[in-house]
Amino acid sequence: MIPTRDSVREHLQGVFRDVFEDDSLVISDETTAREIPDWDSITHITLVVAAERAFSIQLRAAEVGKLANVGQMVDLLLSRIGTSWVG
Amino acid sequence: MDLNDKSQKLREVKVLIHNGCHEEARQQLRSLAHPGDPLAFQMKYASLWRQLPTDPRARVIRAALIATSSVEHLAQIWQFWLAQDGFLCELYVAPFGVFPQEILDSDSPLYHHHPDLVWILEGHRDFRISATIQDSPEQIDQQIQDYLGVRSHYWELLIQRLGCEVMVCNVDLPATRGFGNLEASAMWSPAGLLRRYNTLLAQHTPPGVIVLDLDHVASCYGRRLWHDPRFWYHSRHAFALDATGEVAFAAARLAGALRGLTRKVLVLDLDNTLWGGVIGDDGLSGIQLGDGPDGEAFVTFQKWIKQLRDRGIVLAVSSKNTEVNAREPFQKHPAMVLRLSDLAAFKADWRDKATHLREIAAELELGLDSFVFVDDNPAERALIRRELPQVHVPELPSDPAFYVDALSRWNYFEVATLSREDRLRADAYAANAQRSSLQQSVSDLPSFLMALRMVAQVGGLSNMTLPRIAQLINKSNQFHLTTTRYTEAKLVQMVADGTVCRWIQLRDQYGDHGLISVVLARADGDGLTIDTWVMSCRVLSRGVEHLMMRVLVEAAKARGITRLRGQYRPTPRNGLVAELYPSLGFNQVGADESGSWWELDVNNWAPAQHCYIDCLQEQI
Repeated sequence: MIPTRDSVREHLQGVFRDVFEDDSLVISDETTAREIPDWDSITHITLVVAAERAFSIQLRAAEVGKLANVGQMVDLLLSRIGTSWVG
Repeated sequence: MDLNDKSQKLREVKVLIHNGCHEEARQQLRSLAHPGDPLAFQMKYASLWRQLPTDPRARVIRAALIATSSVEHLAQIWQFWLAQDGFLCELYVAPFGVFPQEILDSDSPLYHHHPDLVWILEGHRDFRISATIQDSPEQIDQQIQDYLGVRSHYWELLIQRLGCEVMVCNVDLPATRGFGNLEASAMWSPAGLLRRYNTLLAQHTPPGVIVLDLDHVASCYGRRLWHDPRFWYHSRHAFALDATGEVAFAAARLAGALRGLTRKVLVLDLDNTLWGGVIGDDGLSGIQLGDGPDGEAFVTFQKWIKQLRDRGIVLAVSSKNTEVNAREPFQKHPAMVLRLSDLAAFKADWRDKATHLREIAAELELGLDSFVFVDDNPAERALIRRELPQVHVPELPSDPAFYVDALSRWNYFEVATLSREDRLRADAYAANAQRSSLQQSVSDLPSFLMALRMVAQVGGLSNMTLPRIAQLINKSNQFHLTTTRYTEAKLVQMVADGTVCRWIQLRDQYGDHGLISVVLARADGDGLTIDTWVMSCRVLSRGVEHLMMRVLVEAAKARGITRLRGQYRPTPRNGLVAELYPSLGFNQVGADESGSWWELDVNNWAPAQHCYIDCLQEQI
């Protein structure tokens, strides 16, 4: 199965739920730190490190801080994971 | 346990907390958390722990963390791991980039926090020394000594101003090398310099300062993984964020050891723990020990345990076996490393193991919280965790090749210093068995005490005795009238300010107990107030307390003081000394919520009728 934005976002949602300890959390491309009260600079790092592990990828140092919303994260992850990724 | 399973279990912990089942949540969390788990898990452990009410039994550590990198995650996770050892850490984290200004400025927030432990976290990037092939080893050493001198100045300032302890790190060597293998031998190379710094730091650590072996943490984690420069460039994180749990855990164990926390007793199962197979079924020639991959692994495990025994960890056996079968390998198997004489207790029968452990604790007069229980059987481990939650029960992998690793990585037996008394301890418990047989051979207590031929030495605080005095005060729970806890620096300060400190060392014909009792007392007005009185329970009922009374009376009389005052502050563990003061002739003069107050006119004091201890007095 070729990964899609939807399948990546769904997998990423699992990471968000884990990090923010909220099993009802739903994310969309437009979700930003403003909508999630606990999303500060500290949890941002936790989130990025957890996402790297969940998707078995490494972001570049310059990319870590540029992820303003979920949509950008999904795009970046999609561009990094191979076509063999099964989530 | 798989991380997905762990995630699920953590959700259950959250529900437990939500439903108010705090004790169960605490235990679940304790059995789930592992220092090697990734960052997101560590953060969740810390977060769930904070949602639990403060454990009323927790001991407070006021700490400060000053780092040359970002440590927001580390700080929270460190507090979590300290809490696992029963400490409530009131932590001040210095903002990024204020090292060393916060230390130099006596009016900085650091000093306003009044920490009794300061952790200074630097890494290889802070190391500013460079050298060339032209530099001689002497020139390089001089440079490093100068650099260390600056550090020592910071540490001394902290100790002088706060009376605190200081935890520093050695440097984590990089994974990259410009000079290849030459860096292993050339002192002037980047890795050569860092290695030399670590060596000189270890050799020149001043009193009150302790070194956290950060380089060991890095190498165990895997140097290439440890160094993740991306998060240094992005947010000044000095090492891989997924290694945060390991660093926090190592620092928590060391901080705990500074407070005198360590485990003393290792209780071992036999079948499939010390050898492969079941002695009762397979017989002496059928168990795996010595030959073959498993047999070799069990021998290695036993050698490792023997090392612990040689540094004073008390060993005991708890096995479901008939006693004859259980003892046979110790007596007859040529590959056995451990001997019956290495063991302070041997329980082999069909009763449950919680009963075994309770009996061992009673026999050795040691608290169950100082016990580590090792058993290959998950059901036995689960039973002990449930019945005796204060006992430490590590998971054991199915392959005995990893037994040493599984036990070693928890670092249960961490100590800040290894005193002479530590090394003597295991011998002392073995000698106790001999004393017991003497006790049976002589009919009454006075004859027994006389036959022991006890000799005591009395002295005051010195550099030689300071570490042991601090250790005894901080580790004792039972014979401890006021349960005071003091750092080495604080003790030095107190004695400089006039507090009287006296210790007693004791030996008898069976062995040397080392320094086993300490009092601290200060003069105020016509009285000498006993601030602290501790004694090791190994020498109970020998009359040491009467000797200490004589020492106190002499100290009072030498100062022209007529009254001795003492307080008994009850705790769940010091009921043993509730009647000490009245038994020594003190009269109760008051009581408040913290305890009872007692007084004695030294002119009315009558020494115990019989004293069986010969006393040598040092110049004080």
